[in-house]
Amino acid sequence: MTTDMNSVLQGARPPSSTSRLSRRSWLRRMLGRREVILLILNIAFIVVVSQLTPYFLYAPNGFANFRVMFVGMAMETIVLAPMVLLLVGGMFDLSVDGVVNMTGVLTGVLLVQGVPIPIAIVSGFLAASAVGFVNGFAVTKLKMNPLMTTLGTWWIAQGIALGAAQGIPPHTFPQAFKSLGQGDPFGITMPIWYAILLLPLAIWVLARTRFGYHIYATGGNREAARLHGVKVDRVTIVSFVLVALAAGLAGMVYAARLNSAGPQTVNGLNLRVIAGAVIGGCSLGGGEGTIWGGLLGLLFMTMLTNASIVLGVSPYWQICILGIVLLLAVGADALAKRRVASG
Amino acid sequence: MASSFAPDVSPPEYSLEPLLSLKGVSKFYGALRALSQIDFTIQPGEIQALVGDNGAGKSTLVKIISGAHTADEGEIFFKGKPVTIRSPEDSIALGIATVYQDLALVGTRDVAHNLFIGREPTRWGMVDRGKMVAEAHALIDLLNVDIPSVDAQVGKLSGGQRQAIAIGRAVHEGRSILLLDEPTAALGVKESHQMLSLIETLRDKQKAIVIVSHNLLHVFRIADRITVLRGGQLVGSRRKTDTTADEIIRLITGADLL
Ligand SMILES: Nc1ncnc2c1ncn2[C@@H]1O[C@H](COP(=O)(O)OP(=O)(O)OP(=O)(O)O)[C@@H](O)[C@H]1O
Ligand SMILES: [Mg+2]
Repeated sequence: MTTDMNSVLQGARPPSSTSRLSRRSWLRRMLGRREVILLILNIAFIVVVSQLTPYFLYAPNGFANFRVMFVGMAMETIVLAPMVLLLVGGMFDLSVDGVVNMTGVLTGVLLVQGVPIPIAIVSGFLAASAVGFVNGFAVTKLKMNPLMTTLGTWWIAQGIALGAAQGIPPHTFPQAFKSLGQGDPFGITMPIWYAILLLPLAIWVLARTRFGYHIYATGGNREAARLHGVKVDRVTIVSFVLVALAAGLAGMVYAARLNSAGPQTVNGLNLRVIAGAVIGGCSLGGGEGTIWGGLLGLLFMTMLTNASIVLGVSPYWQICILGIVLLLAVGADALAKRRVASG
Repeated sequence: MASSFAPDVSPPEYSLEPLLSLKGVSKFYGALRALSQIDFTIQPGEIQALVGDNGAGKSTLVKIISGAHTADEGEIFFKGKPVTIRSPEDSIALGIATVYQDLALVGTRDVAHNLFIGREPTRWGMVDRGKMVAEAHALIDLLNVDIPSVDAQVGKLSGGQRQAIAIGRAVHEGRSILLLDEPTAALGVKESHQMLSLIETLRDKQKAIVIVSHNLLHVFRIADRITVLRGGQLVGSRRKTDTTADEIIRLITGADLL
């Protein structure tokens, strides 16, 4: 502000040329942003597919297909929000599916044994956050590889889920617990509520708070962040615990919705969420990405799958298409990086 | 010929207590002894140059003071009181700011954030972006460097611009000591001289500046005292007025070139 003022007063540079330049670069920057590209892509996708078939958007009754699709996606955004924080912070977590299933089964077992609902829920969160803490501790303090560490804890959590269920998934839960997944206050179903509450919170944390700034710094250059006094290990451990807590919440909400906690309720959610985030601009190297981007990436993947079903594409091709989209996103990223040749 | 120089420090005419002193500090990287039994002092108000050949241990010494590495042996005193520097936070808390040889910038973040990493100003629990940008502008004006915009991604700037940002950060942060590890290495001739002028303007009775440089011209221009490391040992520390470039070169190489 003061610099602008000075240059105007001194008449050193004609201010109009600089502002026109910055306006043009602003436009270019907007169009260069992954979020903007994805938003346009998503809208174009809806327009094109709804021309091909009415069943995608509004037939046969209202927006039924879209509504079902959004509820499914809302469940995944519970995990997406903290997963973006973790990815931006330069880390990676494969244990989510295991934690979702483990928490669902453990909470379910406690409930059918008559444990009060709040205690069952708190126990579920404790079990989930324990896995998150182990992930974070191993990766930071013991300098273990995040990929292998979380693969290990995934198997452990999945094993606990299978063992605790003992072949018969706990089912038939108290009404109050079921309403955590099946309720619809103000006509909006619970999964959508969780998304409405968690996504803005995650956006705020990542974009506005000091913790968010430290996540970006840690993911961008961990050693530099450490040298400037950022508590990088704490950033990583907290992020892992947040992912695990969200996975725990998802596990309980699935159990509540299905009125049954199968040890293999989710299978592949973890990778879908990560793929959505990466399509949305989270770089696996860390330091880049936004919740908005992740959300739009996940939406694109969800719509692609849904449209494939509505259009009658064979399930084999559906998964091929997803793979191709992911490769294109990662390839575009690598190309952009090489062109910039950042150091 | 291979005469070993006894640590030969000019008698301090300084009446002031040292700002920082290291006593018998050693650092090992595995079996490699990067620093051995260093006695090193930083006086308030001085600009001290740290010179020595590649691998002499200059950056290691800087990193021990900045908390990036911890000393394996020895003691550190700040204003006469023993202190432990185990992490960058400890050093920053003493008012020590460091420009590392590799600059330690986050390339994916913009200029404004890089100037404030680790001490982002907050308001109502949120980062005060407006304040950060205003202070970033003020700093860039002070440094008189050509940075396209405080929103520019640091990874896309030139080496000189990046160096200016790293130094701007340290200038803003350093309340007691500024450690500059080769601050002019990436700069052109004109920019180097601007940077040296800037460092001279930062001379302050309360603060001290330690500058690592291979350029003896620069060293003789701005330093009050020149300290030489060779093979991990402190082989001499001279007031500029008491020495010559020839003597410093002899100390650096350990050989009589004349
Ligand atoms: N992190 C490290 N691990 C192992 N050895 C190291 C490490 N850092 C430095 N060294 C070694 O310690 C010795 C001193 O290195 P240092 O970086 O302090 O030298 P320098 O005087 O700063 O050199 P230059 O002028 O090249 O910057 C060198 O032999 C170097 O190879
Ligand atoms: Mg060095």
